Amino acid sequence: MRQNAQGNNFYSCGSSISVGNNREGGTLGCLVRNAQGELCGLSNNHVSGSCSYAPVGLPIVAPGIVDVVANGLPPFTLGFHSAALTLVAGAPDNIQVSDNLDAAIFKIHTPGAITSFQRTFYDTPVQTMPLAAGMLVEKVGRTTGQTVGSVVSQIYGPFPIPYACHMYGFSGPVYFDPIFSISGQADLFSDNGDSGSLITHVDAAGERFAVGIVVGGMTDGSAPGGKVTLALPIEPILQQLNVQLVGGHNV
Amino acid sequence: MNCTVHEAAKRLQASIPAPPGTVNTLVFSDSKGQFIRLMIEPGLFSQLEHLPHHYCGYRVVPEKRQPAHSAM
Repeated sequence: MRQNAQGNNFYSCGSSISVGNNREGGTLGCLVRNAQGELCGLSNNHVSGSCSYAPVGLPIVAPGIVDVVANGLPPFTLGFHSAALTLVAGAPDNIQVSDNLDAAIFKIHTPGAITSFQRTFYDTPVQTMPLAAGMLVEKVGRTTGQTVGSVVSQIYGPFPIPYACHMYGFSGPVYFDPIFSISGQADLFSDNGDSGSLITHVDAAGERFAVGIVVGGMTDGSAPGGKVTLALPIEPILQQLNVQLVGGHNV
Repeated sequence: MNCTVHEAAKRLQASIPAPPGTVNTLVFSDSKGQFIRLMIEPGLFSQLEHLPHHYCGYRVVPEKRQPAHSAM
């Protein structure tokens, strides 16, 4: 929760969410506005879209069910699953790998209950730029909070990430191309539960841009914390969903 | 070197005679400078012969590809 200057509390981006019918927890990446002008939340398909198996209208709750604890924030319906991008398992020989984009949106139930602020750290930027090797990046996520890292490199060639959504009997590797590797500065850049976090970059002029979204991780002994983050560029995701980033909402 | 290290990594990935999705490359740095990591699906690693250790003038380090996971 984030409190504004007037003392009002809002559920913030970078916080825990999940589908309402499974014990999971991922991250609300950011707020977006669809072509109809409706306010939506953006996360991974495997977080709020159950790997494309969530029916439209399925409640998305906050905090995620796995984070519901005694004397904690009571879970509430943040929104309802609205749309998911392609997430097709199968070998690159048989599918169009470039179509795979692990992202989904849900319509926000009560816009007055949520803020575009990334927890207490910074507001969601409304501008984007391409994800690129060498870029210094930042994210706010459910598990590791606010972290800083750098984009190691694009991973060239179709790259597999195993997915599973057991309640629908789905599991299998999904290939992505392009996909990027990000290393944390001193420790992990992300960990389990940070899926869906919006990755941002601050340029030399001090302007913040959205550049990517966290989708996974990979063991890497050479990286701080022993793992690198796997990230997708944000621009194709926003284009495919036909949405625009929202900043300045209840900040 | 007639191409950048990223161009070399991309070309090297495309040049390896292996099924799509089994080989990846990425650019990495160490104290000796930038090099290309050649990540190969573990089951295929021993089957690929003559793995390069240099490509377009850049060092190449072949390794077994580590397992990835979705971050939830």
